[in-house]
Amino acid sequence: MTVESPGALKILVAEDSAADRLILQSMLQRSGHEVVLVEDGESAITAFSECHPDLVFLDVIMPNVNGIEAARRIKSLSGDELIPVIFLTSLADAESLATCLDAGGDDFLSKPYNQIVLDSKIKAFSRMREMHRTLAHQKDQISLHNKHLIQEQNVAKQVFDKIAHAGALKLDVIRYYMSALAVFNGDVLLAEISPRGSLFVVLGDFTGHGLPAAIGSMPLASTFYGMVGKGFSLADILREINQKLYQTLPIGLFCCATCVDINFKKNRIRVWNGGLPDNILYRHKTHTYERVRSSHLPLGVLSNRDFKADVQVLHLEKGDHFLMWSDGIQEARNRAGDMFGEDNINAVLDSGLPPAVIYSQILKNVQEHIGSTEKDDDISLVDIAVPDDDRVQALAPQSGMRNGYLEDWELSLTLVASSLKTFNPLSLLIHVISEVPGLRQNSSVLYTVLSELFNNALEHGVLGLESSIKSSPAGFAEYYRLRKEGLEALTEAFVRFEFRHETRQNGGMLTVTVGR
Amino acid sequence: MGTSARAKIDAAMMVQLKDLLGERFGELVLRYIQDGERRISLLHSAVAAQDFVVVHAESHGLKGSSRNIGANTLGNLCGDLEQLGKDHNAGGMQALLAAVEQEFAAVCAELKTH
Repeated sequence: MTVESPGALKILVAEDSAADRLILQSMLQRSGHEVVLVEDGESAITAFSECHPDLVFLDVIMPNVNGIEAARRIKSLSGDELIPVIFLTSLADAESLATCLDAGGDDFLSKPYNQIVLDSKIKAFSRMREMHRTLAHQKDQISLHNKHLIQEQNVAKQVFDKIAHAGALKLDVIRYYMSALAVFNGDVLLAEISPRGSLFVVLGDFTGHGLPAAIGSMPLASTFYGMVGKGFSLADILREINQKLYQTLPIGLFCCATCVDINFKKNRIRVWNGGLPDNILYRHKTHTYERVRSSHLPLGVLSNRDFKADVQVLHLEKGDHFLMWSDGIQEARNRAGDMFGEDNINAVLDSGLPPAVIYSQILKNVQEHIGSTEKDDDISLVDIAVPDDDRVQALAPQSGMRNGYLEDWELSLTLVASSLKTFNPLSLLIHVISEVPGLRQNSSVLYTVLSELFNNALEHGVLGLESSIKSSPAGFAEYYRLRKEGLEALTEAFVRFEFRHETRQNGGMLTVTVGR
Repeated sequence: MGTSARAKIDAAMMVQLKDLLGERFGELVLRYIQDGERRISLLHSAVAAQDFVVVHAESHGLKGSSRNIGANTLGNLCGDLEQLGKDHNAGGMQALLAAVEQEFAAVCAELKTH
């Protein structure tokens, strides 16, 4: 009688000696296993395919297909599954034992059989099978997770490529090298022309690798393109990006970056470097260079209260080149694990080469240093030329190029008593005015001016209150009490705003009239 | 004790096998004897024909079964014969086979008394 126990296995025994077969069968059954008996190698292979045993005992010397050949066939039939094959033998010489192992045998059981030895061997192989099964399962899971990861990265890359579209990177004053999956190295390069014709470029290097590093690129890119396109200043853009990253990124994830604003007409560059290696302004005339060292913490580290958006302003001359890179250049390693390092970069910078070839020389030297490795590189290098020809003219905004902005316009807004009681028109008006790129930069000044004009018109003009009442602290309270009463009682009154904006050669003129 | 008929088979092994097999012990004795007779008959023709492969295989088989029932002297004699087959050494094969046959007869006689 076979007793099914939790550790019960189905065991195939192939043995040509009838007496030995009977003894082994009895021992295995006594331990609760299910036994399938055959007498030669040929039937062992057939029985293996038919009954899918958990464990196989094979005599080595058997009629028809011998044990060695049977083991080979059984192992190839088991595929990835671990089905231990134990040879029944009293072969003692090393050569024969090696032949058994080569054929795929996992162990030996010698005669005379011993119940205790037999049971422990089976127990050991059960454990091994269990481990093998767990391992195989985990291997499947890992490969599934890996597939998911790649799918996710593809989706993320598609989204990122849409947000960080080529922008102005296609301009021929810009040369750059970024690896194909740079965004997953945490590197990001964006460029855009402002409505006034300035070139804005940002090279960012987020901490970390993979998706976490790529995530920060999204708010960075959308804020950068949105604000440059609307004519905000470099300081405003930096402030906004810093705020967004500070609020959204977890602690420890931030962005080393250099942001530049280049005005080719005025030949000046504004640079903000927070945490990137020194930027280089390489001079055309002298073949020497100036360094713009990082003088700020990276973006996303400080709250906006502590954030400093002050920039370094440098004068440019035609033929100069501005270079920036992430620390992937210094840290690029060769096969031996040595970094490219600061000295190799300085060697190129000090070589006195013409400015136009510095970029390609650095790139060439780094790539030669790395050699051919299968690993995706982590190099981001950017070169911006100050052209000595008319190419920059193409950057200047032309009439009709600035689609979607307010140019010449007039606006009149009249608020009557019911509106004056409940509505403050200032944010509405500032919103309209901000559609003019040149005015947006001054919106806080305009806000103050409009607020003063509106309050004067309402309080002194409409309500007839005297400023002199406010000369004492008690008078203040009195003033606001009268203001409240006046507004509540108001029936026949209005305040009218009139705006008129004209674009001119170097900007525009806004005329504001407030009356009652 | 060496002259005692009982010494042919390890007594402790007999006890264990009886315990393991219970009422099938008789079947074990029968199968061992039939299997041994078959192998010895094959060995006779093989030794005569100097078929070393068969000498090696059959003496190996009988060695294993004999050890399994505790007939260790017989197992060792079979082991010696197996080695001659493996080494393709014809010298002394005939005499060794005779010794195996004699020992096997004694083992069988003793088994039948159990």
